[in-house]
Amino acid sequence: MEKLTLFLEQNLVPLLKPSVDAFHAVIDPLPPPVWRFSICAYLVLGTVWVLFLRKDYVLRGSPDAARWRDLRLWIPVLLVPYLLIYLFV
Amino acid sequence: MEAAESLLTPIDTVIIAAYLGAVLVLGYLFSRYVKSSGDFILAGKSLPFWAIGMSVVVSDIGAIDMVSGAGSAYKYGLAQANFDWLGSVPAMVIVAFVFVPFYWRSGVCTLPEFLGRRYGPAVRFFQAVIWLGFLLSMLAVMLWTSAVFLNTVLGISNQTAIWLTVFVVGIYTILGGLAAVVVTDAMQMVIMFIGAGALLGLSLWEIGGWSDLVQTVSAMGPQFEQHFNLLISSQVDTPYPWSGMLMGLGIVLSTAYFSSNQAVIQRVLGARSEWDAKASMLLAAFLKLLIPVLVLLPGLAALALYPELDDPDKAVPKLVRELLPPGLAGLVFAAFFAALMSSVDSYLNSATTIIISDGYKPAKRALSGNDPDDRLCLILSRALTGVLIITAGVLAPFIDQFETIYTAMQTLFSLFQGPTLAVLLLGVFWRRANAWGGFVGLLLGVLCSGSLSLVGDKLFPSGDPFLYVAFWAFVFSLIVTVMVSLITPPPSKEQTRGLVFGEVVHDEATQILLKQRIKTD
Repeated sequence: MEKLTLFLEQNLVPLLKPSVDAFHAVIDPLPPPVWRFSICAYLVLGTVWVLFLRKDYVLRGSPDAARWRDLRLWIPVLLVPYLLIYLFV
Repeated sequence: MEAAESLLTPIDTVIIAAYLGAVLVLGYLFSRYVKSSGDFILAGKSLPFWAIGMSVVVSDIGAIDMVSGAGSAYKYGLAQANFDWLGSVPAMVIVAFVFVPFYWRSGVCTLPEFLGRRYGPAVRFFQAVIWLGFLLSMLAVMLWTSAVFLNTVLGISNQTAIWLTVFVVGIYTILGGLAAVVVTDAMQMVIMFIGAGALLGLSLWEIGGWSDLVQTVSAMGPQFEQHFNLLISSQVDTPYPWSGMLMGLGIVLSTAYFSSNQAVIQRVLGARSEWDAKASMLLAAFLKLLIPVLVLLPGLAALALYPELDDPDKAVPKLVRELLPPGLAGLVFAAFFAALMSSVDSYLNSATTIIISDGYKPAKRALSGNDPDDRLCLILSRALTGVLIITAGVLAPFIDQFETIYTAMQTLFSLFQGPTLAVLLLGVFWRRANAWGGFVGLLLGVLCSGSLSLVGDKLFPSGDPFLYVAFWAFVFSLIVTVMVSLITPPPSKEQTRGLVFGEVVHDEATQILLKQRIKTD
């Protein structure tokens, strides 16, 4: 394992290091408000698409069409606490 | 190890005994409903969303997490909470509305089964072996952890503690199958939340409240500056930098975990309807909000109260020993057993399912050309559950000697996460992905993970860069799978029928075909 590690350090690291360093030179100096904004944007983008799904897709298998069974309405209830955490904690 | 003196009073022991008795009774009651292998493995597709949601959460938070999660919070601070917060949303929402309907309608039972149908038997075999190895090693570790804990608090020997756990968990899992596992999990979650909540309340009371906790820890020195920051700069040497959390955890590891974990998939497929399956994931994501509060904050409280602990993992045992009055101690220990048993039963049930679905059934079809008899599958599932838990019980005392095997298994499993997600996503969403692409993408992706892990500290700004490794291995695997698929012949329409998202979810002819296949399976 040591020989393999040494081999990778001598061959793989020099190959990848410039790209990795360039990436982190952009990412690492970003200020905390950008971190929060990025995480919140990811949370929002990763969930709000559900609001645009068709009702029959969301309700399929539901025993009735009661309003609370529309899972699209669950998304804001779920998302808001997470957003508050990442905005203010 | 010698048996220690019990820290519990008679009332605590009565509470724990009552709890264990209730779990066994539930297992017995559910055994009456298990008539086929489908009842055993998928609870006869009868589970309501609330039970699955609670079960998913409590299976995810085992006894090891209760101790080591608080230990990590003691050492690294609040950033550990990202594993439950950013690690749940949006991953569980994506799984609820993309993967759950897909698995539900395509009629697959395990991830290796899907990948096998999509990419061929080599990928299925790799995945099944890795999952099985991981589940078995985790079972042995959990039994050993429980033995050490029971030895400390009840004063019983390690061997007695191991076989007591094997007996209780084995009996109700063998008798009741997935239904017993999920319903006992729901009960265990309530007990876990009450016990952990009591521990947190008493800890904060002892310190003087939240603001005193923050003040005390912040005044302890510059090394504790980051302890109340959820997001940490990438320029600080930490295993949890914010960029790694976003890319490695948020995008790759959490999605891979919830879309491919057999314990999650199996519960969801045991739902009584597709709506219940989807709703269960959203409920679980909501309940996960509370986990860091209940599991991690006691670790921070222990830091304020006992800053001189040599091992951070002793934070929770120390709080339990010092703060809890008789009666409440029994409840918290019951919460620990609850966390332990909910994880052991889930891993046990999942390991059995993988052996039956990805080993026995395909082997029987290949060798005899016939489908296996369902009655035999049920007997075999129960027998296997017993054999697996007894094997884990026999291996548990040797876990210290085989630590390297356990560590290797864990590392190997973590290396698979990013590449598995890449081939899974392409398999589900891109019809052009073929068997060569999937196989080579998975293989080279794992090699990429392994190589980056070996030299990660020289390459990335963090000393423990597992989050960056997961992300870049995922990207690499994605590119390789696409490239190899494009330069090799495309799969025929017949090969991918019922296995890509658009067809499974929107095409009616395919759905009728899938329903027929599910019936015959």
